[in-house]
Amino acid sequence: MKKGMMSLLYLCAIGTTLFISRNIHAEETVVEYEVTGQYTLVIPSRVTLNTNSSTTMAIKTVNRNLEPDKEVEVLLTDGLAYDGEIELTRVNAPGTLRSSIKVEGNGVKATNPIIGKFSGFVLEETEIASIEFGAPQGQRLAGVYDTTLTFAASYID
Amino acid sequence: MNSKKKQIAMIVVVYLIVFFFFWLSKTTFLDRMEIDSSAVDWEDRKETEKNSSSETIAIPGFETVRFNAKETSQLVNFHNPETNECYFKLTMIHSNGTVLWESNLIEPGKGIYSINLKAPIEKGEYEKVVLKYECFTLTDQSPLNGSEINFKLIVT
Repeated sequence: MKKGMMSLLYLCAIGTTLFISRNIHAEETVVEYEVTGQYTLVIPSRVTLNTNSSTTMAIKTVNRNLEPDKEVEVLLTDGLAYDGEIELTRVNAPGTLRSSIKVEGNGVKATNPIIGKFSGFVLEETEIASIEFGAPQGQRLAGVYDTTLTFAASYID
Repeated sequence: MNSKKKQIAMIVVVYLIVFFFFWLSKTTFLDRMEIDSSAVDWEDRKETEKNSSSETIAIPGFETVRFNAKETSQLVNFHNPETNECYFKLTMIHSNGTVLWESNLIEPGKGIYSINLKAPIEKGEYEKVVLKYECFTLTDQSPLNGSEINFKLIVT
């Protein structure tokens, strides 16, 4: 009889322990901390084109900290007049000049104006694309010709 | 006496010869300007300038922005890095094309922590929302190259 009671108490003790331990598992807390991806895109403020030779401009990033498997592409969203060409307008007078725009030797297409891509964690200033402008073409009447370019940075899906 | 006269005559002759050659060298060589040996055959105008894209603009980019639903007042972290030598004008554009907010000119080294949207936004996640950075010179506010940052707007 005494032995039976002891066994019952023993079983109760094991059951209580299992019950408590299950309850402890149910109250587990997940500790999270999120660092959202960020970067700094570095673009030239203005580019002066050479008269008889090509001119290059670099697009760079600095302090870039992207999540693994994430990638950002840089596109030319404004300033492209035709496939592979930009158009410069004469300031305060009628007249335009055209100049070719290439990335890695290929003209930038209006339908897919990708300039470059970047990913990962790189703090140093790093070039992601080099854009080459051809010498301005057209009737070079004296004066200043300009246009502005807009570069868009977008996470790739 | 005769030989002394001869000696004086010789000295005078030598002096005249030296003077003559000295005068000759001055008029024939020293008075003429030298030809510049660095000059080359002219082949039309050549570039005097190199790539002049030394001044750059730093554009801050990010992956997500979080807003509170049904509120126009929102907290953000938008800034114009102090290294820039231009003004920023920021415009936030919803993926459906609606302008959500736009700033006035922001000086280098200045930032914006609080904005008022033109209208509150419904709860949801919106891809490809645009923060447009228009850049202008500090001197006469003429436009410079600009940028657009696409991000995910999470409204909770």
